[in-house]
Amino acid sequence: MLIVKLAFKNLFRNTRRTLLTLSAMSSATFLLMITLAINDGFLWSMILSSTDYFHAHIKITSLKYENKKEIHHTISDQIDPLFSKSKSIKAISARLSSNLLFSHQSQNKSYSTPAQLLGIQPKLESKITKLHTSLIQGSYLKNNNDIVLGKILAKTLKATIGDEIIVMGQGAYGSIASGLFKVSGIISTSNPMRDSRLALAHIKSVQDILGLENQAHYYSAVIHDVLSAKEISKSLQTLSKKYYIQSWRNILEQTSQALDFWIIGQIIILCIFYFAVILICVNTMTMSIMERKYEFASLRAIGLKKSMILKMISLEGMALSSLSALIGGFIGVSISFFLHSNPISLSFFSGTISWGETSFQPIIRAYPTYFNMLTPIIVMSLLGVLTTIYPTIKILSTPLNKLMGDR
Amino acid sequence: MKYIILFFILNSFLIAKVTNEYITNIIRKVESQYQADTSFAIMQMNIKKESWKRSITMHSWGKGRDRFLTKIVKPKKEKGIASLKIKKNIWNYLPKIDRIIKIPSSLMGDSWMGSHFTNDDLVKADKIDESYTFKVINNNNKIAIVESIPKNDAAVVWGKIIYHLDIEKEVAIKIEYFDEDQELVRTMTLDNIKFIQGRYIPTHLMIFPNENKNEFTEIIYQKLQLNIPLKKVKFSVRYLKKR
Repeated sequence: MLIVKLAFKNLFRNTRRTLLTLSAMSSATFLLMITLAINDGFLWSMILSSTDYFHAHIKITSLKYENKKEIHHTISDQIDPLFSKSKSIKAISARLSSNLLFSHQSQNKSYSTPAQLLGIQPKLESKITKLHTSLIQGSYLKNNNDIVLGKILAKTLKATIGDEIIVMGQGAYGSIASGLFKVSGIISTSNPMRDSRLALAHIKSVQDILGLENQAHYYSAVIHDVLSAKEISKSLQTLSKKYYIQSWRNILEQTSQALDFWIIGQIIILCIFYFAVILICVNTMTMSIMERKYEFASLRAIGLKKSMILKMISLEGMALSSLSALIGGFIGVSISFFLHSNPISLSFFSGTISWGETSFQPIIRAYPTYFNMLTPIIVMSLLGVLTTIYPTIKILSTPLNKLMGDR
Repeated sequence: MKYIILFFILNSFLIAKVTNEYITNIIRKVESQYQADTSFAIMQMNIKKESWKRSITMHSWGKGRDRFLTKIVKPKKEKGIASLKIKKNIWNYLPKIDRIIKIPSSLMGDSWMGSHFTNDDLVKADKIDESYTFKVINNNNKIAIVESIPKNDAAVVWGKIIYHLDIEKEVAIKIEYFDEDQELVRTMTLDNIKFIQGRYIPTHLMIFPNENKNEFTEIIYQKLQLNIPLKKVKFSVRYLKKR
């Protein structure tokens, strides 16, 4: 108890020294926290722009469809219990898709363009993607003949809410598919490529157009842990050979590779940052301990055991580092959450960058996770204690007369 | 000896006959052989793809080289679907939704009615003599092989077309289509040649894509009438919906 008292008295004895050490370590904590959160913000905006706004996490097709994407290589639109009852799957929905010619008549002029008609189950779809939240005009799919167009597609077709859209193309087994829809809404997913090619409709209407009653091309599913999609798809694949199961990591190969590259890059940045933080801590701790060498020599001279001194210095280091981690953590968490809800816009500098199936918004947004918020706090708490070891051992291993004699 | 001399004289006449101008004329005839001033045809189109096959019966009307109308009469599900070509434009009428849709230029390379023919075949096939230059690369007096290379300023799909022509009947018996890299893309064979209203016309066409030898599209002319009276109104977009 005496050692605890002494340790805390020492901290308050030289407040300037304590505050300097505290501020250096707190700054290192919150700066590391914000850096990690912003890095993750870029990474997650890249992943989520693809998964949340179209692909979800896992895609399940028939083996035939995977080998050759023929319109009639389908599966039932009733989700197989193998997947609907799987504990790894959070939500799942069936989709039917086809590339068709879209046409709209406006003021006696005809505007046509090819696009993808995606037949969805609106209620289930809203559990696997955020497509329904990207509505910028009109309403989502209410009636069977409703169609929701991507923002750029609507512009190309010169179509607006209530307009009639004709679709035409190839149906199942070479038949000629044709359908008539009414525009009920317009979406913007922030991915220009998707917004120029995507249209959503009820799966039943698309089945009718393509001549594929009660059929779907694939199921899209979301899982609890996005980053373990590859492992979960592999384990699901072992359950049935009838289906071909892919995770978003397979579907979005470029994004997946970028993610791996990003993670390696982040580990390197983390190492550099921690190296700098360790240097700061070692330097601060060494300076604050070495300047007290006469004090420790006096304590040893009056009979305080070396182990007691070691305990006392370690306690001081622990108290300092824990407090720094708490203060830095509080500031870091606050700034990270603020940057999460209020991202800094860089739109004056650059527009949306579309890359393959993914896109980057010109914003700086933090993405706080347990990992990027807790790691700097834990590491700083440990570092405070660990960095006291070297100067303490040096002080304690120096003979008493030499410590005093230096005066 | 006199027979040998006679043979060479006759042969030289035949070789002289197969001049580029003569070839261009034959190709013009080949490419517009089903049209005349006006025409009417009943055709059966059989399409075989790797995993499905189907058969369509169509009625077609043509006026010169620029106007062409075809309407599906079988199967019942697609009865009434019609395609209208006027110069370089194609419209489709879809009876199920009672609407007309214009094919944009970006989709001219797409399949026509699910077959191995493209929309562009309809628009440009009969203009080949205007867009290509021709050179006889082989001639045995019965069959001439003609290489067609696009003119510098021509906006065409094919990098090269090779015609195998029956000189006597002035018809093509085989046509090979190559892409810009001179790779063979598809082969068309024409046979069952019939003498109709003063000209020979193949009434059986087959087209084979080179990338999948098991697939084909076959057209059988069940009836072909040339130079019959047709009203211009048949070839208008407005009339397409009325049909």
